[in-house]
Amino acid sequence: MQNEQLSRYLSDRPAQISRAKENGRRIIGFFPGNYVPEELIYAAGAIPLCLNAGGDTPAAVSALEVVPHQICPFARAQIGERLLKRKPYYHMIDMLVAPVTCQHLKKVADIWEYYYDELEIFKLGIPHEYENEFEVEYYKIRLKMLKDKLEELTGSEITDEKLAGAIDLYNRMRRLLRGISRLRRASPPPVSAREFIELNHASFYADPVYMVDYLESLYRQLKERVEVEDDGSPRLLLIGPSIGDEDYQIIDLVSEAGGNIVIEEVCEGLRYCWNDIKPDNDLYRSLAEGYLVDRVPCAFMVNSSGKRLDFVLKLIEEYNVSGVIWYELLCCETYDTESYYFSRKLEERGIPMIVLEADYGSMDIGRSKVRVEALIEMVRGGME
Amino acid sequence: MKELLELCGFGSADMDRELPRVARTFDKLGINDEDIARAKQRLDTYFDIEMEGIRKGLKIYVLELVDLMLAREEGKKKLLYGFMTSRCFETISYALMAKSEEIYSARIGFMFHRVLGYIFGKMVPVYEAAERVWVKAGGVTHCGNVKSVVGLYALDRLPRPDMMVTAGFLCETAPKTVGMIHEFYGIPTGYYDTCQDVSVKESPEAAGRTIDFAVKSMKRFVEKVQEVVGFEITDEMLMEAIRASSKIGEANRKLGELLLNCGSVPVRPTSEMLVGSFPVKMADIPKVIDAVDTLYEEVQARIKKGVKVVQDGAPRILTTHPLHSTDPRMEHLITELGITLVRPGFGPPAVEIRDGEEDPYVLMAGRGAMGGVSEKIDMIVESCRQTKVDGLLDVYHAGCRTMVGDALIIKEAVEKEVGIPVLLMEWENFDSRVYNHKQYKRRLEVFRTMMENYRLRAR
Repeated sequence: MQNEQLSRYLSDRPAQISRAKENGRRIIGFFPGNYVPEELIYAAGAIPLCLNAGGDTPAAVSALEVVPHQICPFARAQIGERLLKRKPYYHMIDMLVAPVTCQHLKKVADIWEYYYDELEIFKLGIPHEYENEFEVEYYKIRLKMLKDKLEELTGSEITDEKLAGAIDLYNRMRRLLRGISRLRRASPPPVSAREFIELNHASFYADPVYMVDYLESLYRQLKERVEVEDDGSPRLLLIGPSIGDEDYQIIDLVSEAGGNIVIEEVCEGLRYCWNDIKPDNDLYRSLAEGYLVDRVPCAFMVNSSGKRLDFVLKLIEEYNVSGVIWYELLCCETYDTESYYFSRKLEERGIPMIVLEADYGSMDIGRSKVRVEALIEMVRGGME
Repeated sequence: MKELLELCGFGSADMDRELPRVARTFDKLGINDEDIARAKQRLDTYFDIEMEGIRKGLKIYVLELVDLMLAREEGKKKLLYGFMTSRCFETISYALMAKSEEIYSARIGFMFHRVLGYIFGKMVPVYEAAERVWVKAGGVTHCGNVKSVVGLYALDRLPRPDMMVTAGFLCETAPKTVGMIHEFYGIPTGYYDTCQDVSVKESPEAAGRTIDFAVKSMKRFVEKVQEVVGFEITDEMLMEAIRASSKIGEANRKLGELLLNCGSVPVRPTSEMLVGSFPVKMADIPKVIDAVDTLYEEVQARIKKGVKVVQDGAPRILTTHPLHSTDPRMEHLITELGITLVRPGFGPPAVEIRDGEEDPYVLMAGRGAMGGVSEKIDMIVESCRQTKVDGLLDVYHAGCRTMVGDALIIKEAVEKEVGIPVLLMEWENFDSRVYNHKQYKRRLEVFRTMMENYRLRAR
């Protein structure tokens, strides 16, 4: 699926990073969710790497020797990949920045801390509400403490100039991904859901300068692409807690069933690109507001449901969506709770929604296929 | 009903005054004659009901549930309910109700767990009601505690409150649940939290930032409560509540030390379920202390008489988890199989009063965020060593992500560092439908054999 050039680059990326590490650069891993400002890591001269493996059984299952199955499969995969030593990124890192979002990911951080004493782990507390000054200030102070830690590890000072440059670079990346995403409002979209998600995942591993250049070139090409006839595939929105790297089963299933996921609202695994960071005199305050306040909250945040619903309704309108697929991982209790809320609210508005649960590999493909097909039929029926 | 209430420690004066109220409450809760017959049997089977201290505790719980169910009818103007709120909300509630007779403020879940759960064994309809809304049964394994409160709303069993309160100290499921209660039932909500990001490698002072956060969050929450109730909640009101509740802690500590050091325990572990918890009203604290002290005297008398609930020399175990919240069968089973369940402390911990600390919010914040798994393991290992137990029952509540993740690591660490057998058991701390009694019995029997063999090897 991925462009050949990008695929080759990503295949070579572990070796690139390995060479950079040998030359003294530090590799900083972080868990997804869009609460860890990569700008800080980049400004320290380190290489940011999002640990986002998901989708396949061995990692999630191997973690069962350490945690019971009630920990979600994505969290288990982060434990399992470290145990299995299959994916080089999980062992290249010199430090892990673990955003304390939900209890599942917090547990992963606790377990890494317990077992891997030699690895520097920074737990980045995420206040679960952000309406009050003290909450934003707490997060900002933690970012400053992260800055100190990064400077200590890399031996490189993070000046405001460097940080401003990094913010500008990542803002460009966000704008480009946003721009590409907006092109999917067309019928048919010039880039598929899988392609878009793979671009996101690539952006978590690639050098950001390379990635921005690549996205700029891609965006130009997509804009110039000759329009093709709309095949009338039902346009769908995908909501969920997490799309790990290689967790593409559901996306492929929808495509095979004749549906078209044209937009996603996913907390982990996709880069949040709907807002830029607005640099101000206090860049740490800018980061705190950009990453905590000026965004749609994930389901683990307090009072998130209404805000996310408003955002989703906007997306539904803007992208001309006729049906919603709620894709959640087993044992994700906050998203499961919200699925009930969303299904009721969307039903009131005549928008069909199905909820699919997955456990990485044990997903009942047959039954899910039937449900997806039923949704697509329902949507087609509504379109006629 | 009268016979049941007598078993729950109601005297003739209580009966005259409270019987009509209890009858109305039972009617609202759908408790019928069959339930009452079952309750009498359960009390007789699982609890040392002949002990006056237990009956005093039971009476407090029954009346607390009655007070809640009839709160609106009996003239309370403002109702605040707490769910998974920590000692902060309890302390605030004490202050509120001491200030005004028109306010009812309490953590609600445990009242139903104790009465509808322990006594009547009738929580299942509540869970089923919850499963008809958003906390479904099945693979996601929603917590039974969450199902308790959601089910009560789904069944429309609760007098409608003016505020539903929760905290994020333990997990994000409680705030999400209360958020949904707001969305679907229109109940205003209150919330306070800390930030659980202290690393094991950081100095102890690092926890100060999470305490500071918790203090600010609690103060903001109290401002919101003040708007609801219409008066100021002063630091002095809160300190008075903290000082009053610490007396329960003292009474519990005394009883706990007696039980820990007495050798063969003369009272079933289920007694802790019914005695020693913090009451709803500050005014009832002396009654709770009286129940604990009465039990203390009775336990002392039993020790002198040589009364034992398990034979001398029985294997002794610690458990990693609090007692089951609604079903006494597990703890009863442990005793029946001739295993002593050692409890390092009796009753829940009070807000700790520290010399030189006058800020009630700092006291209520406690240690701030919960420590990571390393800290928890150190505590468990130390407890095992101090109590010299023969085994550890590593129970984890399947619905609690905070607890679940540590279970296997705890087993590994205790086996390695203490060398005692560890039985890993998954259960559901609120919903006993998950519980296969025969299977648990079999596993505990094997565990007892392992501990007996461990003792032989150790000699």
